[in-house]
Amino acid sequence: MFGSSDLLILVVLVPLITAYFLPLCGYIRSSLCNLVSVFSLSISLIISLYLAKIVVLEGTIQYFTTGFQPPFAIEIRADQLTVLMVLATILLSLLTVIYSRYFIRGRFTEERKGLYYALILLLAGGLNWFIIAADIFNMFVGLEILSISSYTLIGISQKRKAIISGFKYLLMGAIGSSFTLLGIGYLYIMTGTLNFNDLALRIIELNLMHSEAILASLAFIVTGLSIKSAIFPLHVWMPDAYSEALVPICALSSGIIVEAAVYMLIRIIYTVYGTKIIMEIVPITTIFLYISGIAIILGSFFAISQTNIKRMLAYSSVSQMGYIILGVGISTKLGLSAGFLHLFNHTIMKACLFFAVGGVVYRKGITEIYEFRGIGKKMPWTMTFFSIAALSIIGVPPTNGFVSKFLLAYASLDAEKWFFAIIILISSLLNAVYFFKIINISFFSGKKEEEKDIKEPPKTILIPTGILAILCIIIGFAFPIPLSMIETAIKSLIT
Amino acid sequence: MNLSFYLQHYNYWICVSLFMIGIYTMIAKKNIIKKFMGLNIVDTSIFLFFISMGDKRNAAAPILHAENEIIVNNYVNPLPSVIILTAIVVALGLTATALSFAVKIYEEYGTLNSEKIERLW
Repeated sequence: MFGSSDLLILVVLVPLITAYFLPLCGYIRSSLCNLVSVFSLSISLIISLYLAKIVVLEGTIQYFTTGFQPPFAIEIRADQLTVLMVLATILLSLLTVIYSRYFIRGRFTEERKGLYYALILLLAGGLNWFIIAADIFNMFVGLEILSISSYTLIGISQKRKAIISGFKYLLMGAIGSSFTLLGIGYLYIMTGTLNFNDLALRIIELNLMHSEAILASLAFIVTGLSIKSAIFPLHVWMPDAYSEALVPICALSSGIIVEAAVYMLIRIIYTVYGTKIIMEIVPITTIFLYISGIAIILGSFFAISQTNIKRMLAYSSVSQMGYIILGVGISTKLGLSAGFLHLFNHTIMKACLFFAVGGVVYRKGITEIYEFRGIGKKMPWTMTFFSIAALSIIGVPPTNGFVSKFLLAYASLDAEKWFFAIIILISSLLNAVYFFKIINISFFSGKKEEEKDIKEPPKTILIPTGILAILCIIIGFAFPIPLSMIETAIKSLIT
Repeated sequence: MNLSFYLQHYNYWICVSLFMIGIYTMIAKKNIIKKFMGLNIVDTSIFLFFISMGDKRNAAAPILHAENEIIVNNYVNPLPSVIILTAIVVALGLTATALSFAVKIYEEYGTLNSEKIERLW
């Protein structure tokens, strides 16, 4: 009766339902909110771990809402890649909620704390909905839930500028959503269905490969989801949004929201349109290849020229998104799995970097790079975690960033696109320039001022940072586990 | 593809022009509320696009009277309308968020003109 496929819907329902009780909790007792959110996300984490076990052992899980068979029912499904994304989402949301316990103290009134946690849980539920949807319209609804909660979370910071940056993000994101919806309309008008697999079948059955409407839908959906995932020419909302938002929200947004959007983009272009359309009729993978090359180099250059550390990390994210779509651009099985591995690694590394910066912000309230002078001696643990994640982004072995960058370079050599292997090397050097600058300033150049009251941030801030930093190293050794899961999923994605 | 083909499908032309008007409003108008109105015009054009694609000439609403005689051509396609019902709710949520942003911006900056806000930033 209550089979394993029913558990799939619970990863959406548990955070979403809890989110509606949290404002009430905030009115009764605001300290309860954090515990309730941690409890709810822990349950989701256990469920998603169990799901991961089932998916690895038994294969893809499907769930139909109405009891009909698809395409008439609304379908959600989880293969190994989806389960990894769900795990990453839940883990990062859980760490963010734990992290926020002390971080938001004094930044919100007691009643507002409930609303803050409610938005984070809405975001987690919307993300899971977006990730596990196997139906293009449900994907859109999940996208909107996560977008609306992320606009609000970006704008919720107490700073004056945050409202404007949230407003800019909202305008850009709303255009992205409208484009996606229009693309869905074009797909529906031509095929009469919304289910991913059924769409793929109907496009071949009705011989719509060269139809202009299908190609228009491809253009709209790719543009819409590229805005959401901050792929290079459409990244302009990201540095503004991150420089003003609260640090946990930056970590969540940079760590999982843009990743989820790019994951869905890749899934749609491969499952719905198929390799023939995206490689031969419209060479969208080639376009992605060149865009990724420009994004990797220009993102690193922009990052070097920043003085605000949060803006620097945002531009670094632009560059890292370039690596992920480089995997699409190479468009071999190896390249795509390396890109996805980099996606998960980026989730861990970038969230760790933002968390570590947040620890410094919590104690000193600084975000300018030159003010980091001597921080490493006052907060050794925080800056050690920062350095581990920074080395990981640069790609120093034995961290996880090294593995995925190496695999990407290997895949591009394997596909005889050696130029992009050189780009990866150059970009690693550029990454080293801006990260070593911070490590150098914070550890080796401190005798300017002697402030006695600066010490390590509280444990609820330190421990999530530490967990992510340790994960960076563990995955550097244990990368075959996620890689084999990704490869299994990609075998069915590329046919 | 002759001219009459394009003229018969005038409903899509209306959608396209509304979409363009909306995008133009979002880009060109300086007032923040007008930008949001442009956003709503864009959304409305997409809703019209969905509704008009599900419509048929001389067809009724898809309410089932007798189960044994169903002529599909007598009923409009219900799925686009259902989809749009959801999308309208989503757009409502988006507009509510946008307007609450506008209220906060007016409280903080005392103006809704986006150029003046850029200068105050």
